[in-house]
Amino acid sequence: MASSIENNNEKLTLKSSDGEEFLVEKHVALQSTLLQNMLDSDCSSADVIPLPKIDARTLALVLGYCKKHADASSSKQGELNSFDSEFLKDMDMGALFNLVLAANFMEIKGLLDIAAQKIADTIKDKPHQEVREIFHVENDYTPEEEAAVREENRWAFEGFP
Amino acid sequence: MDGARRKSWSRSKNGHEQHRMFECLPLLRRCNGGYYGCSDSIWGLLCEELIVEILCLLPQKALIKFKCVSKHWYYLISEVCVPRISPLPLSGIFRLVRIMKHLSVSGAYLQMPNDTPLERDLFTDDLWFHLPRPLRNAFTPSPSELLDMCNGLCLYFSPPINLYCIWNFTTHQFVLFPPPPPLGFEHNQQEELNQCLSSGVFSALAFDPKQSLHFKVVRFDHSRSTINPGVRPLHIFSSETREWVEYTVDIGPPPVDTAPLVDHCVYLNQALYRLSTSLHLLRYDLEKTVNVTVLKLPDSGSWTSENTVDDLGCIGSSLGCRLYYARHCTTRVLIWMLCDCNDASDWVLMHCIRAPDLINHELSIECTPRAYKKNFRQYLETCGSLKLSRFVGKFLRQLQPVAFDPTSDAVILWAPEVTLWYHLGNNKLEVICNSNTCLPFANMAPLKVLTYSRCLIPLKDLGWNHYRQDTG
Repeated sequence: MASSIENNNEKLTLKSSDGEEFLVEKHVALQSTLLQNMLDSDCSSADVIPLPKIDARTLALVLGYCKKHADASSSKQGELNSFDSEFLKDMDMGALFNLVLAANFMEIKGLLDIAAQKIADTIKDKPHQEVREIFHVENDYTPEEEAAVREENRWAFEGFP
Repeated sequence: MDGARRKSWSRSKNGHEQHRMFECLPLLRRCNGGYYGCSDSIWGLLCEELIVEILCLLPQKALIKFKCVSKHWYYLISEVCVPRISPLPLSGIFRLVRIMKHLSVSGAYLQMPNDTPLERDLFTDDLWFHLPRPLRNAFTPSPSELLDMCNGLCLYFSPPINLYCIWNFTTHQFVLFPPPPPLGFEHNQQEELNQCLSSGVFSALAFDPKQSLHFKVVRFDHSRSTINPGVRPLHIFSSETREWVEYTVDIGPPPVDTAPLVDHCVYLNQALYRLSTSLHLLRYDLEKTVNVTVLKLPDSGSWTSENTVDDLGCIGSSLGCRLYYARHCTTRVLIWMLCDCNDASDWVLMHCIRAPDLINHELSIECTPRAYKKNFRQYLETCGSLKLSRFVGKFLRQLQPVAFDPTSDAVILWAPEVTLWYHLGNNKLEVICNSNTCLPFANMAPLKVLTYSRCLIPLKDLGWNHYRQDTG
């Protein structure tokens, strides 16, 4: 591990929505702007920080991401990029959504960006009917209205079903 | 970013008529505003702010396609995502060249190195396939009929059928409308009519989707008053009212009043800018009262007594806020920016691009061929058909600015055989085309260069439901 952080190995405890506790090194937690702001203000690191909106499975993933990015030096950008794509590989939509929510709540911009991009890449070639199911959106168009919207934007459907 | 977003919301709140079908839809609910926990499903948790975040990362076609998902998504995409991602980066340029021998104009579309080609060609009959039959037969689009291009919309005027056409190349939609009845000053009406029929009257397009979804067409009539040649009529068509309104403007005292004007305008912040061979810049305010302000061009120390339209340099807008003027001067290109201070406008010299420096400039990696970095000279050496020494000589003497990229802070430069895109902030250089592109008339100076970036807004939103048959 990098030597510069040896004198700063304070740890803090994060508690997930389902009650599981995670012991994290401070420099890893600092990847999150939310935690950074909490530590900058009066919150003592001895306290347990509850994260009521994030379950244990998602929090473990988030902390894995934070650890990798906190430990790697900026010169290893290529390595980080391949870690990022490997990290999200084979992740299902539910897990990705949870990750986006957690990254947004904890304010981890890098993670939010890659997870949102992964979702966009997954849905971009899917028909809109399938996207409705993925996002649990109710179709409130009448068939005529939907046809009218489709006609109005016909160019966007060229090459798509 | 935030400012732009707010602007688009206020537009929708101000009773933007086209979306009445889906009114009552709430504005974005914020993630941290207590929306959590409303529903057990993931969708309930994934608030609109994050949905918008994800949608904005989609390719353009997929984004527009998902308007079919639901009425709420239609609203999010039209009113939040599209304004947020606009303006889209420069897709390419239209380069028009005057062919002296045939007294005609030739044109070609040159795409930016990392962009996708246009799905429809600019001047093929295919483009006009949707026209009603009698019009289709009469209307063979030619480059001389392409008058202007503004934020993704193109303006044509066809003298044979006497109709204006606004075309969106991205959505393949268009509208047609007739010109105003010939008015102007009576004494030379016949002369004007003849001129109209032979060449068409120069017109410019004013459209900025960040400010309004309506466009205006400004028609600069030829007719003049013999007593005061600076006073001239102007017709403005608004897509909001679908009517032409006639105005009279005074472009000023001699020498501005009689000097020929360049047939190209730049639209920025509710005003059209146009160069005059009297070495002035004319600013036509289109908002509220229509009037003209005249500004002297900066002195580059190389003005000759006889300035023609061809050596005046060029103007252009950048990032929706700056107006640039650029001019070629010996082996340099000088670029000024118009600054407003204390009600007066003045030019500030911002950049000086030296042609010899450009020859040794490192090309950005996106440039074709993409694989490796090298400088411009080495790149030219690999373009086998060029005789390098001859090319360099021409390049140094003739490098000139032809347009600005309105979507970034970049200038478009031309020299015989080559067209370049050069970023003024980070000095990134890209080759838009070279002799290997097999462009006809590549060694002729362009008459006009129009910039094109995609516009994702359907015509319905531009105030037109369908093509109106009665215009013919």
